[in-house]
Amino acid sequence: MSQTDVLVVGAGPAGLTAAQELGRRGIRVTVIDEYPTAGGRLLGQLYQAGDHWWVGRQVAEQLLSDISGHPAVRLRLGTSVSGLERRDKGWVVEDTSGGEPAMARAVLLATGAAEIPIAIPGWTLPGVMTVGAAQVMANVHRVRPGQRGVIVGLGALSFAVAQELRWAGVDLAGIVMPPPPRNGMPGWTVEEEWRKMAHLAHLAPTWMRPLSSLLRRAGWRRRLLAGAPQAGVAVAGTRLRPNVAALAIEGDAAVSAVVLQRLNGHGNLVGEPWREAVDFVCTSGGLRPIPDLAAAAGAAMHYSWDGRYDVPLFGPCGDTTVPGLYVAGNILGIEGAAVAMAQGQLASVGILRHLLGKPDGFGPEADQFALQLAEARRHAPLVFDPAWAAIHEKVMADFQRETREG
Amino acid sequence: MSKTESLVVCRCENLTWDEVERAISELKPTSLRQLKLITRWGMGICQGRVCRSLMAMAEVPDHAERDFRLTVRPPCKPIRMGILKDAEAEEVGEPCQDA
Ligand SMILES: Cc1cc2nc3c(=O)[nH]c(=O)nc-3n(C[C@H](O)[C@H](O)[C@H](O)COP(=O)(O)OP(=O)(O)OC[C@H]3O[C@@H](n4cnc5c(N)ncnc54)[C@H](O)[C@@H]3O)c2cc1C
Ligand code: FES
Repeated sequence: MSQTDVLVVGAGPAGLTAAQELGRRGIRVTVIDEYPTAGGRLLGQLYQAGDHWWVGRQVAEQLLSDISGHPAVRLRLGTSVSGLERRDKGWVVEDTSGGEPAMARAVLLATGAAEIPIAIPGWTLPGVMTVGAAQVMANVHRVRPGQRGVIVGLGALSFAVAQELRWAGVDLAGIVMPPPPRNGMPGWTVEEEWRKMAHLAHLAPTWMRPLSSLLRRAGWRRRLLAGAPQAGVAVAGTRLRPNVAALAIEGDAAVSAVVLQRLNGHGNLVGEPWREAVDFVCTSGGLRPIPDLAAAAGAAMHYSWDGRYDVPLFGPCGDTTVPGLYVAGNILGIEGAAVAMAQGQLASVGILRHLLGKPDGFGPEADQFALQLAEARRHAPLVFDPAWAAIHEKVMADFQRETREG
Repeated sequence: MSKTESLVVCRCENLTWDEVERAISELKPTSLRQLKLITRWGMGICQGRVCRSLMAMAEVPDHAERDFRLTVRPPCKPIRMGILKDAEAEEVGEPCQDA
């Protein structure tokens, strides 16, 4: 069995930052990622943050070049971790390579986030993809997802990806809403979709920003959004069409059209549906953490009714309720890459404390990294979902209670 | 093509919402887990990685307790059958527990 001090699952910003911090101190680290290229979601990120550009690929390259200076850190790409088992105060980590499982004294789970699908009739046709897939096509592989598309849903990535597609020279028919759910069918109401507008409004053009306080009030929100012109309002290089829903996607062998219909202020369909020609459709149902490995390893969890907010209970340095198991990045909630990096730093402190048996060691580092986390949050260009702040407070309080009792 | 009736909710198992509704009304599952076992929702090759959130949002009527969430069990990623076979031979794999 191959033996290492720390096994990191996920070579995104959180995992790589932690590996860099640990490697700097000569700790033996193996980073496993199932993707053939390291960098996680950084690889596709491209946006303007204030007066500078955030080019995720460059951030990833910088991290990897820092890491290459630490011979104690190894990268294993193209392999998925399928399970963890605690043994002899360490961990046996099983992967999909079929080779010997790895033994590690501590494990960091930095598995990131997954996209939530939106199911509308025709969503299995070739040419329908999530916004994240379109982002990877355009920014990572430099391939146009199509000639003319439409984005369905107001996930936090809708505006970012609309803008990126625009830069890639792809035409969009706009951002439209998912259809209102019928009789128990899984999906969110139009009202829920509209509510997301309020905290995305800071991304809107300057003239629209004063409206964001009005968008927080249900009555105004309905009036404003239902009253928008059918062609939409200009946002992020495309048109936001809050009172238009996509009922279905059509095509024989691939997407050829989307069926749209008008929504009234109550989020109900009104008038006659019509078709618009598109050759691809992006669904944007938002993101959720991927906590599967933490749950399977026995870490105490926080669960939510729709699974969107399922996260492990965690402490200030990414500790879980299981000794030797740490977490960082989007597995804890959906935030930007700078936050994930700060969480990776904090987890490296938790791991060092564990490895060296000094539960109160590295105080100055922990304080400094906690400040950097707060700073990263303050300057975040995008608040993915404001619900996370309250959930984090609850989860960290639950963690304190659980570990005090346990 | 675009019949609402044929809305696919699990791509791997090609399961439609229609079939789910029928299963709910005819077999009256009382938890998501029962619904899953009846319909194979989330039991396809991706093991629910795509459809899990849709399933979590589905309303199962008449469930006695609210605690019907879906459990996670290893393997957390699709693996080759051979790996399972080897694991059994070495007896390192934990026996599958019921949720
Ligand atoms: C589609 C998508 C687009 C995004 N776009 C943006 C954006 O434009 N701007 C922004 O600020 N944020 C964006 N985010 C949020 C993004 O998650 C964070 O910015 C940041 O990348 C999180 O870092 P992380 O290290 O936690 O996870 P990630 O960067 O997601 O890295 C996790 C890594 O873990 C690997 N992994 C997961 N499970 C396993 C396993 N079992 N075995 C092996 N490897 C595994 C994955 O392959 C991945 O490389 C996006 C997220 C998604 C999902
Ligand atoms: S989509 Fe349901 S199991 Fe894959």
